[in-house]
Amino acid sequence: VSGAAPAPEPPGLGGYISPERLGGTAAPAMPQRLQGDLLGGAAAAAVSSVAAILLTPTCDVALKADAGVRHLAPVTPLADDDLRPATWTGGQPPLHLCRLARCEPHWPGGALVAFRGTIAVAAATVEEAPRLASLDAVGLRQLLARHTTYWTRAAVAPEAIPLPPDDPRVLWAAVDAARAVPGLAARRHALVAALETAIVALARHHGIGVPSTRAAVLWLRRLTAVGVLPPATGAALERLGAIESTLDGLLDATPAMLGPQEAKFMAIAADLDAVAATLQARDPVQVTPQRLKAAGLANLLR
Amino acid sequence: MALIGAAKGQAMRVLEDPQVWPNLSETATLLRVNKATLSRQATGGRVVARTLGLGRGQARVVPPGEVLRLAVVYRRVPAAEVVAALDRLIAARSGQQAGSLWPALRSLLAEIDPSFAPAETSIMEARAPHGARPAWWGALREPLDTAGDADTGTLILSDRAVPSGVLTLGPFVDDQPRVALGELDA
Repeated sequence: VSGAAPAPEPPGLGGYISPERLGGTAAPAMPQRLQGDLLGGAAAAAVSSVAAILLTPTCDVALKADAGVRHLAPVTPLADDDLRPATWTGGQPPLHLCRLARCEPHWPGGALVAFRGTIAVAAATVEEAPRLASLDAVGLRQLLARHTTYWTRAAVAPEAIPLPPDDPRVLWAAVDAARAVPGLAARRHALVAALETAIVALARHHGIGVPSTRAAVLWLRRLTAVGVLPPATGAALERLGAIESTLDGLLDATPAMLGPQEAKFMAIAADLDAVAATLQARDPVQVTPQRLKAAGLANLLR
Repeated sequence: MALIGAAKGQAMRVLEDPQVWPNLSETATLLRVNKATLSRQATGGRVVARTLGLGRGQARVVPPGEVLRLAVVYRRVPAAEVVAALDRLIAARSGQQAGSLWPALRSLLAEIDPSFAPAETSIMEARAPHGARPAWWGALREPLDTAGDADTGTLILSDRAVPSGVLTLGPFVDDQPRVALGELDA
């Protein structure tokens, strides 16, 4: 009906990371493709649809991530007056479909991922295809849960699916959560939490899992200082150091004094966004015993 | 806070599954004690163990909390090292990410012996109306030469989320390496 308000969207579908955020100024020149990326161009043509969604790595496909093929599923827009949702039991689509949230301007009424239409496409095609958007952390968990249920018939709770700590969407979600905190006094603590998420993500990005955030920071700094990690990581650490310094001042301030400093909150969130963008680097340097040995750090090993 | 609580709750559920517990051999290796000693104590009821399987496929497994208790009793391996090893072992069996069980295991250890209470409180727990800072605060800015405590602990290396090695870092940087790098690679 012309002029009618769109039907309310089912909860829990998640949202999207915009192309602007994915390709921010701090993003690497050739960012890696992420699971849940929505692709157009040749990738969409390959699945004969308006867009394709990247499923690799998922389930057994993960084992083939290096095999030169990626798995794409077709995405078909869902119009507001589409009759299919009315036929779904309990409002849930059948197992071979996954509902996506609305995405302006590509599918303003939502969309469906058809797992049955999944095909293997050459990795080069996927790399060259334009990225329309990417699912956010909630949307990706939803997609992975539905895909797992499709293959295994097991009921999977989306919120229980762990994402890699160095997936930039985890950090973006933490930054968005901090931005959404209404009071500035509470928001500074949410930004501290986001800063910790960024530190852990940067460490995992380089293959380091350490027992504490402090150890992660110190090891990242040391390994950068001796050249085991690239200068880009050093720059990200400097940015995080500046964030910590700004937050230090904000934590000292009484809540009444925070109002005039709201611009600092926005700057911190933007800086954390930039750190998340750097996590899209392809094939990041991984810390290995050989690299430590080459850097003259073998004497630290017991 | 709810998210942190949910993650910890999920980790606790994983730890309660006997299918992922270490067996007696693995426990003995983790604690660097004789397997026969553990077996004898388990038979005598002085070590908590559960029997899984039937006949020749039978195996005795030890709950993670009991492994940590024994680590505190025997003290042959640093408790933090046992926590790290348990985390890797159980995470690999349960399909969890390495490191995801750390908080739950540290909580278990702190319950067994309060002196092992984590030095770092979670940021959400540390949140206070007085601008409190987490324990790691300042690490991004302090001079590296004064930050000696990063030389200790366990560094878990992973390649594409798959653990590829563990480096145990000691407090004496001038010590000769006690583990050859080749062994770590293996």
